[in-house]
Amino acid sequence: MKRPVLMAVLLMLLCGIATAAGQKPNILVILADDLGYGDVGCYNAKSKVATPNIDRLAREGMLFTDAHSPATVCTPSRYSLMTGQMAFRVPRGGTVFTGVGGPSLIAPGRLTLPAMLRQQGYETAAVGKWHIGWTFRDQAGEPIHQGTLEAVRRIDYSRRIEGGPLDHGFDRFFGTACCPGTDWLYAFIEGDRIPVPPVAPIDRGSLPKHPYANDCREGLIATNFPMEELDMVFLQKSREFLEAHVRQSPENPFFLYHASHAVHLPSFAAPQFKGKTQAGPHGDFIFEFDQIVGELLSTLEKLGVADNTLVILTSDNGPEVTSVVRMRADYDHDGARPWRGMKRDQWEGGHRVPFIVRWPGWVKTGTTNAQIISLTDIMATAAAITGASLPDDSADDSFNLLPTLLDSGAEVARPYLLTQAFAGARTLAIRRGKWKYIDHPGSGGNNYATKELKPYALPELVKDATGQLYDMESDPAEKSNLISEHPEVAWELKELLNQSKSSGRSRPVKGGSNSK
Amino acid sequence: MSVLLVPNLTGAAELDDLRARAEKGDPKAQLDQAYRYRDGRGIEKNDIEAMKWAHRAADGGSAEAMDFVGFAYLRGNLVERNTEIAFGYFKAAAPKVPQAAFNLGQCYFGAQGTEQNVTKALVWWEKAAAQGHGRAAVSAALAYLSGEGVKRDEMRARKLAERAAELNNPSGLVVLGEMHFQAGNLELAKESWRKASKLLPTGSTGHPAQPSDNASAQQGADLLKLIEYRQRECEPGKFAFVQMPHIYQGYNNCGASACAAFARFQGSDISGWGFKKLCPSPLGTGTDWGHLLDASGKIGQKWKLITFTPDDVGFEEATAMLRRELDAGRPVVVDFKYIGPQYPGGSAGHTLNVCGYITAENLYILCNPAVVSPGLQLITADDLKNFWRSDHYGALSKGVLSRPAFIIDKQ
Repeated sequence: MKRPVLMAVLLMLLCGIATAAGQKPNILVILADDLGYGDVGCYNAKSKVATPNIDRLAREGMLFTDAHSPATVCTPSRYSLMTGQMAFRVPRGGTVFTGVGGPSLIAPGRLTLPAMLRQQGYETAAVGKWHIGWTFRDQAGEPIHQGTLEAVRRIDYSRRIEGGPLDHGFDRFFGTACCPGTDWLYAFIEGDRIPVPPVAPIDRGSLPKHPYANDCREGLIATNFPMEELDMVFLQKSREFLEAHVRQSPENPFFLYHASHAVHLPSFAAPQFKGKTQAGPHGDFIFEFDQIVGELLSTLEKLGVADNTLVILTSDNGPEVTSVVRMRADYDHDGARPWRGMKRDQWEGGHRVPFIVRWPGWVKTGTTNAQIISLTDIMATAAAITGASLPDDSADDSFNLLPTLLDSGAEVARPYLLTQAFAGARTLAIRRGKWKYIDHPGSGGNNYATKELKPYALPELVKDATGQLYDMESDPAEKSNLISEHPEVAWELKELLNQSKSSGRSRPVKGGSNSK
Repeated sequence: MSVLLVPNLTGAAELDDLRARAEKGDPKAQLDQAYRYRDGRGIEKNDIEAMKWAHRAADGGSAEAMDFVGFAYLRGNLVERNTEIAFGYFKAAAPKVPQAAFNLGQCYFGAQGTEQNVTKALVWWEKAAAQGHGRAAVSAALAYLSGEGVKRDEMRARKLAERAAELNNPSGLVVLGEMHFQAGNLELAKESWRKASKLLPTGSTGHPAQPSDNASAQQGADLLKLIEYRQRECEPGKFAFVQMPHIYQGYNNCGASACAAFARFQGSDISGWGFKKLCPSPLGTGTDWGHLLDASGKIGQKWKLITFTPDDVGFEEATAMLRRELDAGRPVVVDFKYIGPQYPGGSAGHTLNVCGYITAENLYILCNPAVVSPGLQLITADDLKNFWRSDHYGALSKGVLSRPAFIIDKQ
C-alpha cells in the first residue's frame, strides 16, 4: 500500500505539483493571533465558542494535533514562518516589536517564503499584521527604531518605509506594522507607505470597556483606522486581492498571507459579532475570526479556485493570559486546554497551536495527524509542492510536510523540534519523540507568582533543577519533571540543542547529515 | 525515505512484519529495526534511521535500546561521539542489562563521560559478571591482577577469570590460560587457549584491532603457537621474544598503557593510568606521543623517537631496527593506523609494543594493550608493513606519514 504513495511523493519532490490544469496550487495561509488550541471547537469539544467554519475546514482537510508555533510570542514566530528559520538564531531574535519597532529581523538577501514562491511564478500578497520589523525614517532621513509613542511622532510619512513585506518577497501588502490594536501607531500601511497618517491621539474613552480591552495603549490614530472593525478591513482587502488576481492573472497561482488582528487583545469584535456568543467579548472576537475564515473560504469558492487552493490555518502562539484566566473563571472556557501554560510560556500552552490543512484532491478529508510539526515547516513544504529548491543558507529549521500531507502515516523527517519562549535564545526547548526538554527552569515567560497566575502555578518537585524534562505521552500536562529520573535523556537533548545552536540549523545541508 | 531490500538476507514479508510491529510500538521490534539499519541487514544501512528506532525503543523503556544509544555515542559511529551522553544512557540501563553494566564499568574505568572511578567500575563489572557477562568478568580480573586503581588481588582475579572461562568467553579462557602458563601448568594453559581458539573461526594470524571475541579466539590460537617460542632461547636473525609486562588498557588509553608496559620493562612500576597522568591531556582522551616522550623523562627514563619512511625502503629499515632491538632484548613501541569505514572518521590510531619476531614464518609478535593479558598476538610482516604507519601520533608527526617508534636510548 505504501509504495505507490512513496513513489508519488518522490516524483513530487523532484518535480513539484501541478494540477490537471497545469497550474501550481494557490496557497492561502490564515494566521490567527493568539488563538489557543482550546479556543477552537475541533480541538476542544468543551470550547464555549462556536467555530463552525474552522471545524468545517478540519472536516474537509487534515487536523494536526502536535503542531507548534516556533515561538511563544508574535514577532519571532512570524519571522520563523516567513523564513523557515528559528528566530533565536538571528540578532534580536527574541524581541517583540512595538510601534515603529525595527529594523526587520529578516536579513537582506535571506530567502523568504513569499520570495521563494514569487520565484515560482506566484503573485504574493500579505494582509494584516506584519510585526517582523520595519525601518521608518524621520524628516532628516534618520532611522527610527524605538518602540515608543515619541518615536511615532517623529515619522516622516512622505518617506518610504523600508524592510517590510515588499522588501521580502510580497508583491502587495496592506496592514499594520505591529499589533493593529495595541500600540502607538494606529494606521494602515499600504505597500510601503502610510497613505493616511495618524494625526490625533486615540480616544480610548470611546472604545469598549471590559476585561479583554486592556491591551490598547495610547497613541496616534489615522482617520481611516476603525479600531473595532480592523479585521473586517483586512477581510475586505484579502477579498479584493483574490478577486483582482482571478480577474487579472488567473493563469498564475497566488500566495495570500492573511494575518488577522483577531484574537489578540484588545478584543474588539466588530458590531455585528457583539453578543453572538455566550462567552463574552473575547468569545465574540473568536467567533468573528471564525466567520472571517468562513468568508475567505467562501470567496475562494465563489471565485472557483477553492479546489486548487491549499489552505493552512494556524496561530502564532498560545492564548493570552488575560483571556485564558478570565474566560476560565467567567465562562468555563479554556483557550489553553488541555495544556499547561499560555502565551509566552515554554509549556505547551505557549506554543501548541491549531494547524489545519485543506487541499482538495491531495489531502484526505477528515484526517487527523499526530506528527510533530512547526510553522517553520510551511516553507520547505511549499518548496516541495512548487518544485522550488531550498539553498543551504535558507529555511534552516524547515522540514517538508508534503509526504505526511499526502499520507498521514508518513513521517516528517524532523530529527527534533525547537521552540523558543519569551526570552528568546535564553529560553529554548527541544522535543524529540515523547521527550521534551526545557533548557531553563520555570515558564520562560509569565510570572506565576502574580496574583492572577498563582492559582495555576505547579510546585517544582525537583529542587534546584536547571531544566525540565517531560514525557509528553504519559504527562502531556507537564506536571512531573523527570530530569532526575532520566538525566541521560535530558543530557542528550541538551547536547542536541547545543549542537543545533552551534551548527546554526536543524535541517541537514544537502548531501550531508548533521547527525554525524 | 527509500527502502532497498537486499534479497536472500531477510524475506520482504518478515521485514514488513518487523516494521509493522515496530511502528505499533513493540520495543523489541524497534530495537531490531535499529540493528538492521545500523548493520545494513536486509535494509539499506542508515545511521539516522538506526538511531531513530533505537530512541523509540529506549523511550518505550527498553534498557537494551538505551545501551544501544549509549554505545552509539561512546563509539561515535552513528552519531557524533559524546561520552557524557553515553555514560548517562549506560547508567540508566545498567541495573537491567549486563551489557550496559559492562559499558558503564568501561566508562568508570576509562574516564568516559565521567570522572575515573575504578572502584565503581569494578562494582558494575562484577555485577555484569554475576549476570553472565564474560568480558566484564575478564575486565575486572585484569584490574585486580594489575592493581590499577584497586588493591592487587590475585585470588579475586583468578576467580573472575574462571567465571569468564565458565561462561565460555574467549578472552576469559585466554587470561585463565595465561594464569596456568605463569604457574607452569602448560597443559592446562594449552587446553584453555585451545578451547578459546575453537570457539570462533581463526586464521594463521588475525587483525590487531579492537578487542572482540573473534580477536580473543585468534589470540588463543596465537598463544598456542607461541607457547614453545616463549620458552626458547632467542636466536638472533631467526627468532626473538622479549618477555615484557602487559597492561590491559582502558578506553582510549593505548598510548599510555603501551608506554607504561615499556617503562615497566625498564624497571619502573608505573601503571597505565599513572603514565597517563604524567601527560597534560585528560584521562579518557588520546595521548600525544610528544607528551608520552616527555613523561618518560619524568620517570627518569631515556627514550628516543625514530621514524622511517612509509614506503618499502622505510619498512626494510624499520624492521632491521626492530630485529636489532629485539635481538638485544629490548621491545619497541610503535604506532599503527587502521583505515576503514568501521572507524569514525575513516581511520583510527593505536599504540602498542613489538616484542618478538619469527623469521622462518615472516611473523612478528605484538604486546598489545587492547587485548587481554598476556597481550601477545602474531602479525604477518605484510600486515605490519600495512599498519605500522601514522601521521597523527601527535604534534611531532607534523601530519607527515611515517613509521614511528620509541626505542630505548642507549646513548
